Amino acid sequence: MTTDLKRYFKETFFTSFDRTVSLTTFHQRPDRFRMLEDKQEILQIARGGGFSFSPASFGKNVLVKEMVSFNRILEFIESSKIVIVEAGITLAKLLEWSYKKRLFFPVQPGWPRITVGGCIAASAHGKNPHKDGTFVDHVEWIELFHPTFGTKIVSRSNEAKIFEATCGGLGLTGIITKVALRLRDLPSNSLIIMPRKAETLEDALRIMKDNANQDILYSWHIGSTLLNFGKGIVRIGSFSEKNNSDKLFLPKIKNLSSDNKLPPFALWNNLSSSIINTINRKVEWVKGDIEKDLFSGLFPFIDKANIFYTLYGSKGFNESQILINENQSNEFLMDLTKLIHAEKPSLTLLFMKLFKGERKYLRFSGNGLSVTLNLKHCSSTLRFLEKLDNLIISYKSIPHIIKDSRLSKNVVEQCFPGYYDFKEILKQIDPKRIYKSEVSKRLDL
Amino acid sequence: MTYVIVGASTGLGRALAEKFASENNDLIIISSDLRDLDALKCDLQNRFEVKIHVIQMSFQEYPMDFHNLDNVIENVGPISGIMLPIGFSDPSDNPSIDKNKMIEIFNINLICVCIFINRYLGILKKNKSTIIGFGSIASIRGRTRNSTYAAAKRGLESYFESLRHFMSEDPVTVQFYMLGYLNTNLTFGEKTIGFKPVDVNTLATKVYDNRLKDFGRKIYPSYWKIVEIMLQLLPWSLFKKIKF
Repeated sequence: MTTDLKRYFKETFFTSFDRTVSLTTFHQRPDRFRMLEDKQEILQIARGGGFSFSPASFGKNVLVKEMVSFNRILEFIESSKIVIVEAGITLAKLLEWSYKKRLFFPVQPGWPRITVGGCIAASAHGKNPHKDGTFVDHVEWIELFHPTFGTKIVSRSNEAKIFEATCGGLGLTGIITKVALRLRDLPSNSLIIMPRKAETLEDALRIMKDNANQDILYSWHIGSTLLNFGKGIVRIGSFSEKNNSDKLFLPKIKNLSSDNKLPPFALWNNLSSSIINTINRKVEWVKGDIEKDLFSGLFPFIDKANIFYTLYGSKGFNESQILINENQSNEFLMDLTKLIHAEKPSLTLLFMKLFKGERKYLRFSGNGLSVTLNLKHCSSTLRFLEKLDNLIISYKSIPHIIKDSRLSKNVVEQCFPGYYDFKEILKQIDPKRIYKSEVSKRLDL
Repeated sequence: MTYVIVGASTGLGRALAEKFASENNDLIIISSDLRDLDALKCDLQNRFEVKIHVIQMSFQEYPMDFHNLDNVIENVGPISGIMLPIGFSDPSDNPSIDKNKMIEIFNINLICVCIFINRYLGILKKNKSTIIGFGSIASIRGRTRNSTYAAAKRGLESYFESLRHFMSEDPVTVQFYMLGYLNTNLTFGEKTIGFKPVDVNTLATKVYDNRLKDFGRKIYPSYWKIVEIMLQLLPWSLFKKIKF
């Protein structure tokens, strides 16, 4: 690192969002191109909003390059509705701008402060991946920086292998600097959310299949085996036909951070989660259909997420998201239910979504059903997750690498047929392997 | 209305550019790196539909090349204000610093800033306008560290005092902000002796809101006033032991 650039870094204590991995390493926040595109080949990794559950944006002795200053809207091509942005732009900033043009990006993951670069590296998904695919399905091209080749544009037609490996590539192919995104016309300023009661996971799957092409479609379920396990709500949403407001309501978002002051113990357990979630289910059901402004409709958890994660305390939580092949969904749900009843893990919530997409390399995509489990971090959870790993392997399903901080190389190797191809591409474009993180080290990438 | 912002590509300069553009002002943004300026120009034009002119210009050396800026200023019409949130410090800065480094620090923080203002005084006098300079709390009392930088900033403060006096009969508001630690790359990784660096966007909003007020000199954040008084009252026997 040159002396000039070395000056602008410090050592920072980083914690994965699930709070299970923490370490101190070098940290830089480039705010000009010459700082971002430093040609020295030191171990490094890009970091977006820092909301990755697993430690994908930091690593021991790895320089973390925080991309928040590279958040500009560079070009808009009206005829094709393509916007070119810097990778550090947040979903909220992009939405605020596109709203004025009556456009929006069709895939909106759960938190408005996550960045476009982060969404690509993590292969994030939105509220109905069956209808809209995943984030990367709407990416036209990516500008990638690597000290060995400088910057290059990669797309499905130019350097396709690098493009595909970068989408869901955990930031290991280089630094995503610019992105061309295809926007869609915004049908309306508000969304109608229609909750439907589901008595079991299978019941929810049936309801979702019947409503597969709605704008919003996912379910949440009580995870505790103590009371009402599997009961939940399917949220079905569609753009309203009325246009109620010309202004986008942008609430003040409290900082959702793994650094927040937290109680030393978890308040989530099988008793508290079953009671709280049973009440929540009842309340949501009684409220019935509601109309929400665009922002609240697309980011429904912003007001509750802080409380939800805080209740896990300083020890944190584990999340596991699995994508099961379409034709095995019911069978998997039965086996999963059996496993949960047998192990009785401290499972707070389950979420389900239908998926449609192409599975490539380490990308979390494909046709089928995604099941997400949110658990208190403790030894019984880790034992349960090990058994769940075996179930995932036996079903030839895939885990979402970015969500699970404890996934082993062995599991990833067995679940992802593209694991070795991905490693091979990394070797070709980054022979010295300078882009590293705790995740890449754990998975031997 | 058109404002000129020197050092606009990062930190406070960028925050000022975003704030003034968001209030529908056209801008002439100046910095040493054209790529950074171009990216900012695109962003501001896309988001706020204002006119942005970029000028690549270095304040490191004198004489400065004003050719491009003169052309732009001639064509944009009246200038409503000039802001100079420009600064440069060096970790090796103490009274024994390398001569060339010392000249560079003086140029960027004082000499070129004064020459820049001097060149456009005539244009600014023609209309109601504002000149805003930015100093540093480092210049409250000279110490070993940042000695050249502090001297330059203290000189700048004096220059702005004179400028305000000189322009008192003209429709020109002259303001000078003495800044504490700001959350920019200049403080990233630096020891800030217990003071949390403040958000540049908040400061940019304050600068915008106060742009027509004739307050002369303002310390921001205001709690640094107490530090200023304490540092000035501190006996030499104690002050000489200060290591920050």
